Amino acid sequence: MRQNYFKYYRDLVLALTQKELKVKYKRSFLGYLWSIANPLALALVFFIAFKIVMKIQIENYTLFLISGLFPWQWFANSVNSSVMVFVGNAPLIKKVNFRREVLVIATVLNDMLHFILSIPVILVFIFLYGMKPSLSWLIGIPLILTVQFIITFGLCVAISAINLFFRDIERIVFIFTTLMFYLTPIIYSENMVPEKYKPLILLNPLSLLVMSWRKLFMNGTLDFKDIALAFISSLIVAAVGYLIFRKLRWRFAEVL
Amino acid sequence: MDYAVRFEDVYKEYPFYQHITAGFKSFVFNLPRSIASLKKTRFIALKGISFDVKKGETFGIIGRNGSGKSTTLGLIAGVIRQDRGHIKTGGRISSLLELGAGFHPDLSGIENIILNGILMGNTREEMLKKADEIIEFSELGDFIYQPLRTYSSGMYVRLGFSVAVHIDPEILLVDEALAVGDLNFQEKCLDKMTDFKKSGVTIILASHDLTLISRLCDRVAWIDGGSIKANGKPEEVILRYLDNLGQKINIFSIEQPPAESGGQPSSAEPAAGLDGEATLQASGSFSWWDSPLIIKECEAVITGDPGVHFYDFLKKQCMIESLEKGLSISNRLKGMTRNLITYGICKSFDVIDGDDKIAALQAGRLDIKEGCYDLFLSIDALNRIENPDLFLEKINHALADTGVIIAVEYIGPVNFQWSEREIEIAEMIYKSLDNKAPGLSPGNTAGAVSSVDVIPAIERVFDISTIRYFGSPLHGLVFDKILERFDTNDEKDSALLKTIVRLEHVLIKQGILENNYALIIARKRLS
Repeated sequence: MRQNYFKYYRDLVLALTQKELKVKYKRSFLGYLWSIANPLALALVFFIAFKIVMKIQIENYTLFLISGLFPWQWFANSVNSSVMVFVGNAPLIKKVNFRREVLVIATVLNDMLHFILSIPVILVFIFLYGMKPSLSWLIGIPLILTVQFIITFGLCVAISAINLFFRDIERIVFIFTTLMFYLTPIIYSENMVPEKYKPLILLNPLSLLVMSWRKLFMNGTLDFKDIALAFISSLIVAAVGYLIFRKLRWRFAEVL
Repeated sequence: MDYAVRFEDVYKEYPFYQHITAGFKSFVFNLPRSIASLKKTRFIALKGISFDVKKGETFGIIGRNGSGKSTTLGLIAGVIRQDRGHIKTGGRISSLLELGAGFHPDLSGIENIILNGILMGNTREEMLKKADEIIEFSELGDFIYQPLRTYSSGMYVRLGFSVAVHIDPEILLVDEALAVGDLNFQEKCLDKMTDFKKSGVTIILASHDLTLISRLCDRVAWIDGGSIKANGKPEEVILRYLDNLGQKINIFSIEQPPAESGGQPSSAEPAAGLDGEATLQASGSFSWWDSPLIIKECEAVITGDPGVHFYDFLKKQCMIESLEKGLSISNRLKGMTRNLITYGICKSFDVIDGDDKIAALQAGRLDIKEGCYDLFLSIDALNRIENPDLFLEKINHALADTGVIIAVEYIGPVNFQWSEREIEIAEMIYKSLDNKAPGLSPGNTAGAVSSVDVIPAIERVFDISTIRYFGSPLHGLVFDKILERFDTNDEKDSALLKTIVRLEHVLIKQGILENNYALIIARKRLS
């Protein structure tokens, strides 16, 4: 029974993730390339703005940029689309009894997959800049993936639940992710932040994550202190998020 | 554990969410008031209900719209949770609450089968094993590999049903789901349900389709206003439910004691419904026109009971159009003992509504296909047909052996004129309704009334099983008005209507008014 339940849960997550993937690119010719095209275009914009126009003093700026931007895109896409997760699945919520959080898991996993598929692009730039991938990736990537998954899930599950009751959350979330983008050292480096604001940046678990990703991709090093800190805060976020979700879960079918 | 579902004093209320879904701003700015109103303004859906459904039992839930049926099913399905009380369920639940919930239009049929099956609690492995069987049952053929957006709505429903019934449910929840799809598909659904019943699946069925309920269910609960009014044998519960519905309008059971179907019939009416009941009990088998339920439903149709869906359809024909138009022939009902009130059946009626069709009918040119009708329903049409005997013969041939004719016909004197007394009474009632005179035009009400005596004509061809007289010119004058504004929940309205109907019956008894319409139910005479 227990093993069967695990199997069912796994199948449910996989089936829904698969569905999202299929649906997303069902009718497009270039398919998954689009999921790389978007962050690449964004990277190009920032490159022109900051490297060419504003002449920011960072080495290997393109690589610097995408190694932070790609994981950020995963986070931002998941959070932005989480508002619609339950609202968009109203018939299911109202009529079928299944673990609702699976819908959120599938959304986050889906964006995570896209991120993983964009790692080869980072690899290409690493070679272009004459660097080499490191063996530490083998531990580092799954480790940071897990931490980022937990925090993204925690945030998304809370947002998707609350948005059923307050549709304003939709707008707030969008402003939130835009704001967070500039408060996280993605287009700039954390060393450029004035000393007195530095603790504030470090309070943001996403800064820790982005910094960890960057260190991993560019230097092949793992900053276990940062990752541990990010892990702890992601656990807190996930716990709070899940509690909110659990509290509201039984009202979903009533408000939809 | 010998029960499949057990409700113990289950209480469920819904807050009115518009305070919060109206927006964050208004909620926050009126925070104390918002919270207070959330607590105060609640809709109590279930007021502490208790019942058991035994394993393998088919359990019906009936009740008016908004009485708590869907809430009950939702609680069993586990999509909502009770506020107080306990619910226990034993077994895998499959819900036909909504067919194809969760289907995605861009995925192919087969992909949707797997996804839907997993959502309903199966593993992928199990679904892959069942896929072939599901595809076969759905009769979709190669369409199964096409994306769902290319499906017709019928195919969509077929796929949804096929998945739902193939996941080996132990408890099957059905909520009016059978009213969708074409008749053949409905028949298939019914067959499948009967199979389930035989193989010991617990079925819980919420429906307005009382005939279906009485046919399938072992036990029925009637929910009204969030509490269980009756729970027991289908016939008894349904009759009590219908009596209650009838009471609200109270046209045919004027002098009958409430909630007592076997009471004294009023002297002004034949006790046909009760005879029907007797036949039912005596014969043991269920012919649907013999069923008192159907007779009551037919009455309800004619009396405009707002609880009956069919009412909307016929109200237009028989009330608003003052019984002038409308001949309805239903086809392909054969083999299905269903009642008249489901939406699906309305669609199968060939409604004679245009002047050209009526002309064709009158001249006897109307083409009636032989041997494919179970039911012929006419609304004041027989007495305007030039040669009714021939027409009735035609119908007799067209009807299946179990065929039945239901007619609502004008049975008044030829060239009927309103009497001054009648106009006076009508105006009086009209005034009391609206405080103004309606501008009546005395004259011929039913202008086309011919000299044909309908009942003998029918009698020559068919066996009449029931005649019920009702109505009077007052109906034509006042009924539209009443129906328009009628609110069954409003005590005053109910009382007013009751008074009018009482008055009418008194007048009929005194011979001031004559019975003008008859509901005739006759069946095919086998030669």
